[in-house]
Amino acid sequence: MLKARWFKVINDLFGNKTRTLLIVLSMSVGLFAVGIILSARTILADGLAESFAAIHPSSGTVRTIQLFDEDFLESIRKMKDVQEADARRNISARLLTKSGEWKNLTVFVIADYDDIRVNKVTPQSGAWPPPEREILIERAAMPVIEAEIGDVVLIKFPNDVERRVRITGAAYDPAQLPAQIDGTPYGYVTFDTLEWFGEPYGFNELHVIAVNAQDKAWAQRVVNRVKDKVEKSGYTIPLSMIAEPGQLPMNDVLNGILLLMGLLGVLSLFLSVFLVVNTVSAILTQQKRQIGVMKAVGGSSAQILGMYLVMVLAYGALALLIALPLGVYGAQALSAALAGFFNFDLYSMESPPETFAVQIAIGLILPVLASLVPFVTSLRISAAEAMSNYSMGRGRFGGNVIDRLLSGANLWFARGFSIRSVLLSIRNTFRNKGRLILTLITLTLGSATFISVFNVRASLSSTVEDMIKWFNCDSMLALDRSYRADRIQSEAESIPGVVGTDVWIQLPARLIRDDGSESGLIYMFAPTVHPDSLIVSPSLPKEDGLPRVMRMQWSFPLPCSWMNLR
Amino acid sequence: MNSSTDSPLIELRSAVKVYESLAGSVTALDRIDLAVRPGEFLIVTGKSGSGKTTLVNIMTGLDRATSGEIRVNGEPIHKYGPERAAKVRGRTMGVVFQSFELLPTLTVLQNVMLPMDFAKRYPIWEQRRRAMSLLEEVDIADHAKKLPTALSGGQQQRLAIARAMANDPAILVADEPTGSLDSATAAVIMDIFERLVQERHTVFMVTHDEDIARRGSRIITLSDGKIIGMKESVHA
Ligand SMILES: Nc1ncnc2c1ncn2[C@@H]1O[C@H](COP(=O)(O)OP(=O)(O)O)[C@@H](O)[C@H]1O
Ligand SMILES: [Mg+2]
Repeated sequence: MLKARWFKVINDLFGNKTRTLLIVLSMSVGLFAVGIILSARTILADGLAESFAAIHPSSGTVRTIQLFDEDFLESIRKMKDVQEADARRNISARLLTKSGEWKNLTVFVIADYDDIRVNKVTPQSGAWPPPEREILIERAAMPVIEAEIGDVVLIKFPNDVERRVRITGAAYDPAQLPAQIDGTPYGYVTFDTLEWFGEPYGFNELHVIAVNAQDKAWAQRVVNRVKDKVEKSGYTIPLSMIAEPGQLPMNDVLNGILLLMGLLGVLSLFLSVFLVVNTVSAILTQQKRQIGVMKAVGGSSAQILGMYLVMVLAYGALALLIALPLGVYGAQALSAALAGFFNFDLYSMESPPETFAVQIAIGLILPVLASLVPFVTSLRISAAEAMSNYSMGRGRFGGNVIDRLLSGANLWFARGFSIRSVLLSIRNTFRNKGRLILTLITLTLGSATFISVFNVRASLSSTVEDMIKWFNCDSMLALDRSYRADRIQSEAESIPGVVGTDVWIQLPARLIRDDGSESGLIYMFAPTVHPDSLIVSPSLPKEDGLPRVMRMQWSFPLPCSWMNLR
Repeated sequence: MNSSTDSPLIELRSAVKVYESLAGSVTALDRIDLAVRPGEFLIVTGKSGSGKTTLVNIMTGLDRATSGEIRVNGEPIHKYGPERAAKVRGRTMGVVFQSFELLPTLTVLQNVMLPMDFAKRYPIWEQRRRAMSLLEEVDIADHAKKLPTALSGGQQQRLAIARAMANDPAILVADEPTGSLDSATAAVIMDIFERLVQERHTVFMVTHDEDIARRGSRIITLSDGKIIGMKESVHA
């Protein structure tokens, strides 16, 4: 049989169901958020790492303008410190969608789909490898090109050859940025199909894994040596990329999202702790007399403290009952959604046991710690004072500035009419200042959370708007090689509807540091903006000598590799 | 002779209580000397504000005296902190208040069991049996499963008495136990007190009602925190 004191705890808990429900729900929101974040982090990190390891990720990618063959690839494979290398053809084609729009499509041509050694592409559904005169599409790109397996699409190559091609399958290629993020869908064909498009045989993209690929600086040096060899062999490198070791391209974005959500979770946890303290203080004020009575019938402070601590523990336990299972499901749903969005597979949906340990610790310990102060202060007063009618407000009201203001004594302007009742209600608000402050903090934290969420959103969209303003043009063309600016500008302006053009050159460059080492790749844009150009409104700093901005002098005619049209 | 008939159950020596408040200090008890003897029905009377409640509070250890000595069963509770005083109180005294002070979320039975739970004197099955028999003694055993608010005022005060007797205390201390009751109901409460005294319990009671005070075996009159009169009752 249960001891009498626990009946009081139980009856208090279930006697005021609304209060219990409110506090339990608020705590479980915080605990749920903590659980979802902790579990999702682990599930996503494990999934990313496994997906990543499975594809044999490259340390670097080198693009060439001239095509190279297997023999050259073999010579790269034989290089010292190159663990593995593979090559493919990368072609910027275009695809006509159902809604009649020409979309960019990056087509990869791979010699042997069953022996990809770097940045592995794996079958997802449908045919494998791509049959002749048919194409596979990266699984995340399907919605971007508005197509499904079995559809026949019109694809146009840079050589103006158009072909109707059937999509016979979906491939999974986590090494690429997912199509819905950067807008570029990916397709996969064989060299036979490439020939059908009238393109010559050959590779233009080299993927290299350095030995000891985990060391980024080392891997970069190896990739640089590969680039030197490529250049010395007579190839031009328009583009090369160094991969961040151990992570997929969208790792940082994903971590950013999780960090933000983690912050929100902590905030909501704080909120619920304040709510617990607030509620506990309210209960203690309300039960002050009962505490005095329990002392009068022989209860020790420790025994009474135990009762109230169990009550708070019960709130925590009830909140955990809701938050633990919901957190597991939430983490699975969130992980699946994010993994889908960032296009990688999850290998396990298990919430790690540490998550539960953390949730239980927070759910049980935090509220107890937080309410210890109100407990101890209300248990310290004597039983007589707790039960006395004298103690109400004794020594609490009257002393300080706010109290004197609210006493109404100085309000000469109020003498003519009655504001006593108003003052009385305000005075009641200020009677228990500790609780008032707690309520204010809770409200402030709550609104701060909302405001910050909305601020981030507003700032994000205004930043995007600013960026769009920066590019004051309707279309930007990236050209596959340099052209004479005056010639292509006049050609473009002869097209009806084009009111202005503007050209940039984009040059891959590297900084040579003082010690002779080279930095990573830098894209240098040289805008050739005329003062009267309306197309790009660059807010480039006016003064010379500012860091990170290089002024360049060009004499016409300009070479250019970008053209902006309006 | 055993010691309980010899020495007083509660003894106050020069007990003083001064309240400090914003309005200034009030001497609620002024050098009180008093001994509660075993088996007596001692009633303290006096006007409102004369210091009766203050007297109850410091002799039960619910509040500390400003100075002076208070001994309960020989234990110097004026030297004890509130925790140790609560222990002594739980063992030796049962307290009854004017406004009953029952715990609203416990049933009638659980209200009687709570002091036994705190005192850990009886095993739990014994607590239940004892509580039932105490409720029978004050004639509210039928209401054991109800909440206190379902009882009438007189029934609530009888429940409070049953609760006060839970740990079989040497003395029952009551502060204006009839103050919230009509005279017929008050008479029933006084009957219970008299029966307890006949059963060799000691009762110390405070009242401002002089008619009720007459039923005590010894009557002390308090005024402005001082004892101004004492008489042994005729029918004692
Ligand atoms: N907590 C307190 N703070 C300040 N003064 C008090 C307090 N309790 C009682 N008093 C004062 O002490 C005196 C005695 O009060 P009390 O013992 O309650 O008298 P009684 O119970 O006889 O009516 C009164 O003047 C009362 O105003
Ligand atoms: Mg009184």
